[in-house]
Amino acid sequence: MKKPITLNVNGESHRLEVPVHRTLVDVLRDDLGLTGTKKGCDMGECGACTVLLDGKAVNSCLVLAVQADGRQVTTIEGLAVNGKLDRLQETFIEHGAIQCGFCTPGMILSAKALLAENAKPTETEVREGLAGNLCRCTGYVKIVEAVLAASGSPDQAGSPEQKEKD
Amino acid sequence: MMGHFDYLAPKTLAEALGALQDRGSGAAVLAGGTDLLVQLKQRKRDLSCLISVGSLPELKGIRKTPDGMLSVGAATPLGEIVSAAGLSREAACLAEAARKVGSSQVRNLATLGGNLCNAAPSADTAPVLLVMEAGARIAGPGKERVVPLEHFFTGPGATVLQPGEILVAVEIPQAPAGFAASYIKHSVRRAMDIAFVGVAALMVPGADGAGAARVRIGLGAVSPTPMRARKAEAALEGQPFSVELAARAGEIAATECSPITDLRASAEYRREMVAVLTRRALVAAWESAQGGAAR
Repeated sequence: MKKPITLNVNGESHRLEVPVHRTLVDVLRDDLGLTGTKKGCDMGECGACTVLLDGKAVNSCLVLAVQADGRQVTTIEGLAVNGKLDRLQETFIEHGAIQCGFCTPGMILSAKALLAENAKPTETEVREGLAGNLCRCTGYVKIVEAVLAASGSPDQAGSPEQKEKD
Repeated sequence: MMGHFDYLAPKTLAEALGALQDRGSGAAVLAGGTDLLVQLKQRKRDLSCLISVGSLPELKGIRKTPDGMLSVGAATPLGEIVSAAGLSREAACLAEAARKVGSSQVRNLATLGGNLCNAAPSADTAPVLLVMEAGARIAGPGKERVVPLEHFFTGPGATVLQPGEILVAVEIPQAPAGFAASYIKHSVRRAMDIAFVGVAALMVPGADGAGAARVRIGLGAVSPTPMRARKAEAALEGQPFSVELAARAGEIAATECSPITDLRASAEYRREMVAVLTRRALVAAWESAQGGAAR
């Protein structure tokens, strides 16, 4: 069974005909070529496929593409505006919050949703907000620092330059 | 990769009930999908039709009814329940349990109705709804019924829902004045994990202030269904409250449950933890009730 749907991805409207059993992550990656969204466990455990659906972070492997019909999807490709990186993308680079990079798109989108709801989270709130995003490289410390730095939260541990001087 | 199935997105509850009846036993209700889609991917279920209830107006939202009841639509995402903690004290209790489920991404999809209809003995929202004596409003062909949540679960993965029926809402009656509740989830990891024991406690202080007039204890993951520990409750009611008495109630609760050994924990460990965590949940609820009284 196929169904015609309209997906609004990063502000662009796409009319597609999709098999109803296809998940959003597969349609984003294979039909729209938006491979910034990663497919990890495909079971809602790892968070690599996190996208924003109507502004809320969701696992795109647990959403059928037909369920996203008519809704707004934001992927990592949609964060930079006119080639200028989002503040979170900048702080991830500044803090070296990336190693292999596989978890990064999902991490940044979870962080984006967190900061939209809670502009100045504590470190604990950041860790809770990112609990559904697994990173097997970094040990999370630099990721948490990068999110706090992007928020300007009083909990932030200072810029990397300051830390080196300490 | 999932097998092939049809997908229907009815616009009204009546349409959904009709579709469920037409499609028969190969059809299932799709709410948040965080359990169902995984079961389909793992080929643990084989379905010919998914009927999406995620956008049915009758199943959405949280509202207070004129008689003080809190009605939570079955298709309300857990994330929305977490955000609605300020609506009432009952809403705050449910929110405390809801925020312990999965991750924020899962909670933005997973619904309260899904957590209950999936009927895992470890469902985090169940113990707290049991102590608040919630009811399950169920719609079927041509009629609706309300089943006390205590009688909703019939076994692991099994509920009283008959073929053709849909859970519409969870109804939480206004709790007695001065009540306080707590929920303790015990798991290896603090997030993204399944409880090996969950304990909810609700206490209503008596007029003399020395003990609880009403006590309710809900246990998760230690019997085939979420359950009330009624003998433990009876040991506390009307008695002057003390940590020793709470500990004795915990020992009684441990004898009332019937845990199994699985990959997460042994039956013996679970039983020990029921004793410990029931004591802690009772003390937490009691202290919270005292704090409320002092204000």
